[in-house]
Amino acid sequence: MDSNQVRILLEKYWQGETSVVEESRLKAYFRSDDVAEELEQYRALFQFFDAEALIKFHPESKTPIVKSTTIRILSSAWVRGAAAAVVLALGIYFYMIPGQENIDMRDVTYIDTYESPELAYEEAKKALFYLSGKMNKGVSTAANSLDKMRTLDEIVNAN
Amino acid sequence: MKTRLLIAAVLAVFVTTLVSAQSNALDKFFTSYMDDPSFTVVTISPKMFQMISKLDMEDMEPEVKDLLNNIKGLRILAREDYDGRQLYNEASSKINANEYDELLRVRDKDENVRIFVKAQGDVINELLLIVGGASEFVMLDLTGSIDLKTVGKLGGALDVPGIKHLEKMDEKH
Repeated sequence: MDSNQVRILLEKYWQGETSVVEESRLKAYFRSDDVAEELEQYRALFQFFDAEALIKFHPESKTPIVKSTTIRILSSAWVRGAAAAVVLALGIYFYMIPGQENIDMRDVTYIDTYESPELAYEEAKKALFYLSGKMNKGVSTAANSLDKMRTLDEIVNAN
Repeated sequence: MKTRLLIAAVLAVFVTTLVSAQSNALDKFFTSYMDDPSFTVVTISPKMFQMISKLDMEDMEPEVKDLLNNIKGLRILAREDYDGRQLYNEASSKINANEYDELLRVRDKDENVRIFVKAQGDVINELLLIVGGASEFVMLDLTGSIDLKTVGKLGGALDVPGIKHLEKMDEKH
């Protein structure tokens, strides 16, 4: 096989269009001693393919090739259980926290109605006066009964 | 082992969902009505309260400003010209007794009022007001530390015991 033929075959090979026969011809060529100088650069590649092809899988082999220590540690049942427990505990912890500490940021309903703080201030003020009115209404209603009155004063003044 | 783990996992998920469902029942109530145009919805975010605390206007009452400086959030859900008693009952049923303490409840011929607080020690972290009358419904939710004494003084004089309340109330109405 002259170097021109080899070059054509190589071109087909890079395109992935060579047949099995053509590939074995290419391999045979690069295994031979008279490789054209300009094709010398490809020899190493085909030699590597040859070397790789020699590696055999031995299914009868007793010792597993790879057995990582991680797998061995995790295969112990109680360690697995403990790991699961830790993951669960962390999950629950982070799940619960927002509901307790960040009351104000807990949901989407805190989208501002007002864009200006002045308007928001006026509305918040109205809300406070409204609340105050309702609280005092409670007091005046409760004042009808002195006992209830006292209870309420105690509650409010305690704070 | 696997079965036990599985049971533990399912239980854990169940419990967390249950707990969060309880605390979010009010939020769900709020969310379910906030898109209804017949309701008036007002929400003021913690960020806005921060901006309010930096406000400097001439006619600001110092008591109001002090109160607002400590408040982090406000939500109002209200509906006028509407029989609010059913909504009042619905809202009341969403309140988790483990979380809130009832501060007061007034029931007269016009309307029902309930005020709940969420407190840690002496500090009130959240106040919830529900009003349900023959012609209105109001739910007001305040978060942040709330000084009830000062709130009470805005509309009258809560800290003076006795019948004086009634006199002041009469002047107001």
